[in-house]
Amino acid sequence: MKPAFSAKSLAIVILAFALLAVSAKRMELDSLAGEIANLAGSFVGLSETSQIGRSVERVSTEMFPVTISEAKPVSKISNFDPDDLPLFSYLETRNVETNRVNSDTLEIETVMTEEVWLVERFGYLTLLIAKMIETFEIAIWATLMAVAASLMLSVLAAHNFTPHGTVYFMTRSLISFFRAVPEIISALFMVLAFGFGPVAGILALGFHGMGFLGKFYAEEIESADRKPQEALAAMGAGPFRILRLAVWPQALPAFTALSIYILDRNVRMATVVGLVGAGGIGQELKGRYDLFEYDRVGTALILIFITILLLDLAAAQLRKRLV
Amino acid sequence: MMYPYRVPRSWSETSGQSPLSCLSFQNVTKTYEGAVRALDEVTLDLEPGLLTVLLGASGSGKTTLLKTAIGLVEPDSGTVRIGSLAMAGRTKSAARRRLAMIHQDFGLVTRLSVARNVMAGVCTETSLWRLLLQAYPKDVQLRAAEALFSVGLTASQFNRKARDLSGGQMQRVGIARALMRYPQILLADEPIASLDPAASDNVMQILRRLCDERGIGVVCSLHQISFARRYADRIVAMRHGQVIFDGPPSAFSGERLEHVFGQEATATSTPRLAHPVPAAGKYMT
Repeated sequence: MKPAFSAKSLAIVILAFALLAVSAKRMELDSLAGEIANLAGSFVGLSETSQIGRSVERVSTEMFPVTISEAKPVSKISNFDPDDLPLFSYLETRNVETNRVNSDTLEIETVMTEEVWLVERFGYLTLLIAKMIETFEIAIWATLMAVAASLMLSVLAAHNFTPHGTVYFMTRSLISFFRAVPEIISALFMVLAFGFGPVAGILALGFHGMGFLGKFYAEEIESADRKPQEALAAMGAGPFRILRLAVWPQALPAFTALSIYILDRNVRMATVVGLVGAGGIGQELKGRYDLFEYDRVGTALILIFITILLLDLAAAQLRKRLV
Repeated sequence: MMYPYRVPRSWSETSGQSPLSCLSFQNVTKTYEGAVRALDEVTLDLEPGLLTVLLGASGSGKTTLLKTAIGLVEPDSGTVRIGSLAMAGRTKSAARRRLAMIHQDFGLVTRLSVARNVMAGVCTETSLWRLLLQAYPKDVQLRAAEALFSVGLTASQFNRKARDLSGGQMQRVGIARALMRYPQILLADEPIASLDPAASDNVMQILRRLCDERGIGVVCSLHQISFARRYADRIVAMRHGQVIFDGPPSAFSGERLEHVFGQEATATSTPRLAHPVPAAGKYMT
């Protein structure tokens, strides 16, 4: 009877493990294992503390409770009307330490002054929701741009509809190029070209989406059932008529599923490209992170998480209805 | 249905004297890459009002002949004409308008409704914008309904997805789509090869009726000898791209059958059939 493992397969397994062991050392996984062991030791009282434990403790104590309110001194609000406060806001008197020069002694002294502040209970949350909506808008425009451009490009990039081999090669190359450049890199260039803001984000995500959708739309067109196409060709129908009547109905479910996936992905990636200044909640997140305002970073992360969760549910429903 | 042609006609009446166009092949030769000669100097006149069955083993050139007729395949030499119009050059599209084709695998878009599949039959006469929006004119919609009724489908089936139909019903939708073009000659490429015997019989009856009632010429490639004998006015048998028999079914003897299909026909009595035809042997007398 043939053994379950031959000497050859055993040698391959040993070789694979040896390669993984070398790679693990290069990737510093040994120090990770040491840190994890340290953390586990600190939990059971074997060691006092660990680096991971200290970092997690520091971030979590600074991040939570998260901040959802916004407060600013009334003196810095122009045309402030105390009888017309924004919704869910109130006035609060705070003792504020200020440094000033004593004109008699010419020394800097700290004095406590009373200052009226306007506290908006959901002020920061409202700002973040507005930024999240902006992120969503970036994602929608980027998806629309990618879908519209890919519908045209994919026909040229499908070998059964392309007008010429050169056009096919050039379109495929262009699509591959769009796909090869990561969004975050193209966002950096777009920010250089168009300045900070949503336009850079839309273009960065749109081009990457074209690289993805162009390829997959083209493959759907190529793999569509040929029989109805031949039946229409026998009637003398040209490429446009064949595309509309025989290919489009067949490819529509896949086109829809792919486009929904790109929308879903663009919402997530719009947050990331925001980190380099391409608008949306990502830009806000990066700004607060740089100011070490982890309580606000925490709020942004929770909001992003909830949005992605809701989007996942909505995308699943949409897919179920359309596909 | 207000069909632009007449006419019940008979074999003797139509032979060579048809007021409708005749599909003519003149010395048509086609060689595919790899030096397979699919058509070899084929000269043939196919008349309207007749049901002509093309018989032959797989690879004998039947499908190439039909594809050449409708312009899907360009012959290497020779000419194909429908009436006075050559299936080439400037007259190709006009010539094509006189023909329609139905296919073995139906050629339907299965995700579309029956009605939309049928209306696609006039896609070349419909503007691009209408096609884009799938907004067919009222008269086309009525024509599609008439075509569907004429092949025995009911109104409740018009809006069903084509994929929900049986094979026989799908082929009837294919015929209805072809009828939208008011063809003078209907080409049928193995229309019953993937159907069960009852559905096959039904489809052949419809094709027969189109010949008898409307004067349409039907050119139908088949493998089933029994159906050829039952429904054909004329049998054209092919082998290695050449016409080796052309005449009425009564003249198609068992020896000829053996010649067309080779030893296989005598050995199995079901020469390359999609499904067995029990009566195949009895014609070999």
